[in-house]
Amino acid sequence: MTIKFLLLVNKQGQTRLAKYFTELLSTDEKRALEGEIVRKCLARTDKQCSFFEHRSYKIIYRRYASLFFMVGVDDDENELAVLELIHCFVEVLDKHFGQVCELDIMNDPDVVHYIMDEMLLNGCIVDTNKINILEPVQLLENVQS
Amino acid sequence: MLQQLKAPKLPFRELDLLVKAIGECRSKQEEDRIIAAEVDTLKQRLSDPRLDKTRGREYMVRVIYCEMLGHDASFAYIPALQLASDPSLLTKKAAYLALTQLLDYKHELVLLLVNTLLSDLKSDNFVVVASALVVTSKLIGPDLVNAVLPLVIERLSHPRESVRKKAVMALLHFHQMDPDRSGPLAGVELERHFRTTLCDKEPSVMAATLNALASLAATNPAPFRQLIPSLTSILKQVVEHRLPKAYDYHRFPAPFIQIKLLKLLRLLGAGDKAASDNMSAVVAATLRRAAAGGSHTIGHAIVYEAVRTVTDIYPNPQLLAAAAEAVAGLIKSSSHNLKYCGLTALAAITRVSPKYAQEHQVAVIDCLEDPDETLKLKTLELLVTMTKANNVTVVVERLMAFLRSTACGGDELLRRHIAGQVVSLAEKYAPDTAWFVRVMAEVFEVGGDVLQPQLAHNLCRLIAEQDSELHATAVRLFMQILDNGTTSSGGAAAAAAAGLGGGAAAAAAAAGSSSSGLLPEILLCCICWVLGEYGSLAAQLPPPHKASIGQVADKLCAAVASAQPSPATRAHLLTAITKLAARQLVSQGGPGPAGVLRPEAQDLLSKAGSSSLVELQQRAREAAALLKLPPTVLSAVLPFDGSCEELEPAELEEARSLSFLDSYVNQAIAAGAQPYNPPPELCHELGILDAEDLDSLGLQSPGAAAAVPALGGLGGMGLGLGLMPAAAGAPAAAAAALGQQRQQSAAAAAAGGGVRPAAGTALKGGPAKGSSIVDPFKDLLG
Repeated sequence: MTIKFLLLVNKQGQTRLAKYFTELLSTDEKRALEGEIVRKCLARTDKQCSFFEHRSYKIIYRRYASLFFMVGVDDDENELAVLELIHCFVEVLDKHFGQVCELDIMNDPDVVHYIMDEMLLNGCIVDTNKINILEPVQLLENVQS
Repeated sequence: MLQQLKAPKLPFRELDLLVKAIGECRSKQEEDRIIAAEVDTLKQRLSDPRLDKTRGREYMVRVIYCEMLGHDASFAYIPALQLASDPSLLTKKAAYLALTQLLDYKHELVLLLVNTLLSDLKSDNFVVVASALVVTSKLIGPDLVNAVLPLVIERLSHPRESVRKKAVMALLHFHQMDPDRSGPLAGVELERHFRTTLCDKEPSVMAATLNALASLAATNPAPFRQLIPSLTSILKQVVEHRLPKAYDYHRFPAPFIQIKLLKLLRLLGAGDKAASDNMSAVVAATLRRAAAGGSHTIGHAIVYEAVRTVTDIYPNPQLLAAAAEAVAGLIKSSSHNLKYCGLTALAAITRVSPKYAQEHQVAVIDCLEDPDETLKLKTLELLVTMTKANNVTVVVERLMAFLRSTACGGDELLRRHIAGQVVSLAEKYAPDTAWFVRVMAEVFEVGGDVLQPQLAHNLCRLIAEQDSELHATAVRLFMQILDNGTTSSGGAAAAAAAGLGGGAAAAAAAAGSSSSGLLPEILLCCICWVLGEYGSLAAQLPPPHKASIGQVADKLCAAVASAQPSPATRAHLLTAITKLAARQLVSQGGPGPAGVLRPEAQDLLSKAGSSSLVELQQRAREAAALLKLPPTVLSAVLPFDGSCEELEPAELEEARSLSFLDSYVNQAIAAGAQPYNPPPELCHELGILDAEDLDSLGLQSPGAAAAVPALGGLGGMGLGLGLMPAAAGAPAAAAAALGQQRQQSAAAAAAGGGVRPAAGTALKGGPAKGSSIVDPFKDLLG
């Protein structure tokens, strides 16, 4: 119940995907928050932890090529587990899109959301089994509307 | 394994163009232009009744983009609602997604979605049901829960695990809408559903249930302790690799499920020995296997979680030993992330069993030197938990160094946290008072802007209660601060160095540090009070701190002038100057060759005397009046070191009622003077008027305003005995009242009735405003 949001923002600060759980923020507030957080991530070096605090959240982030995956949690969350959750998510995306890249995410943002919905609901981890996650999503792919 | 089926993409030309444009744009303005144009296009298309529904998915995705890039998309609410009932699966899902991105459960339009949701929850297509459940978990609020609850409960037994696990999460969401069952869910028992799904044959459904149980157990663990045998049995099966391989992650068996179970067991075992005993074997086994499972982060994550469980449940020595060993591995690792978690875990262990911290001291100190600020902060937090009387000086030194550093600079929450830690550690473990005073002065200097003003009062009271040796020390310390502008010994050098690095200076200035010459208010108040009260001791200090009273006053004036003080601080300064001058008068037996006050002090007093702020004006005039009194009276009115004077109850009563002035007042009245007419508010307080009369006059009783006004309380209280917060003890307050009466009367006399006595004390103290005056004190003072 403690993951508050999951963001994909690129190095230029452009939001590629934003999912907010249980946090009721306005559009302006969300975008401001995303900007602040990505700036902090950009300022950090490799020698530093992948976690830092921002306002009332703890941010755990991982960089994959040009994209930052940033998760905001409550205070008492297991940071290492969240780090691995991010990686698991990327592995799932990779499996679905094949060598996933930023452009894949930009072209099919709804599919990325559906994948996330299989893994996370209301800020809790629901499933990390790749077969379970991708089966419904694959079915969608096969449906021509 | 799944095939990588990539169906050919439908040509969404306009979406492709949009994506391309966003991807290639070089600036925020350009992006805004593109999206603004997109919003206009979408507004047109979506409001068109001949909207091409086959492009529904495309339009919804474009709407999501607009919102994601910061533009208002409320124009799309109604079209999205309509598209949500579209028979095409992709369109429906896209519309649902748009709605969950744009709306929340408080939005009134959700009501229009309910029928669509209800119908989708009954669909034969499990993907449709699953999608409806996702939307339900986000958009159904307390008002609508009962409309969907029965169907969701039915879905708990849907043949597909994808549906069942989402139904569980939807129920959890409902629980969170009404956790005490006092609203829409009154009388509904969800727990038994969760008990059933806990035993679901699909691990994913069981895992989803763990989320629900954790949420329920967090508020009240007791009813769930009976589940511990089931939970430990599940955990045992998981770590023994008895789940399908698909749940493996990097060769660890269902690590996220292990972590969930550990968290839940932690909640249930906390504070309950029997429960903790039931789980210790499994927790130990989990820890062991995770530690042995190779060096992947997820293994460390399980270890970390297991350690947290061990520290939170009823203490078990073997478990704690195993946990400590695991933590050693984390701290010594070269990865910063692992070190960070290791430190958190060590802090948790230390709270339960302090001995383990000792073994790792070296590793911990290393972390303190680490350039990573996040790590440094974690180490400091750990040190705080490890602080005892024998290492408090070292720990506080480290904390202060961090507070001063630029890393702390702009982050106010962080500074407040650290400053607060320093204060509480100092209060708990201070080895001696002198150290305490020095540390408090330091923390006021560096963190003064984030601390409570009350702390200044506490410090002054503490100083007042000590002996003259400490008074001298305090005076020396504060003089040094005024001289150097900082409490650190390298003060001047630090200020110069900070001035060189623009950013550093800005950060330091923002942090209220004195390297830019501005002392924080809280520190100035302390300094004013201490120097005002004990500044005469400066003459007895060894050089370079030795100073005459006049020099002390000068320094004070200069410091306050440069700091752009608030009215409260200026009031303190006036009081301090007055006290110093009084002291000088008393010790010299009269005005010396240089006059009563130094030029700067005199200047300040005159300016304040015509200030528009009543408090300042009052103090200035009282000062002027007081300083004309002969030394013998003055030393009675402003006794040296009198702030802790204790008074007898009889004296207190006398002070409150001013009965010692009765004879003079009666004499004056007999000679024809008018009795003082107190203002209506005062009459109420004294019982002469009652509340209705006050109301009809449009006034409020001041008696209820127990809070001391910002400027230091009833006018002139500052003169007698320094800072007097509302929380001051009875003796001090009474002494203040006593001193005040003395000076009120004296002032009234000396100034020939020109000063109007403050409300609350003047009933007997002085003549009526503006009437012809008989001076009752003429004979006394000669």
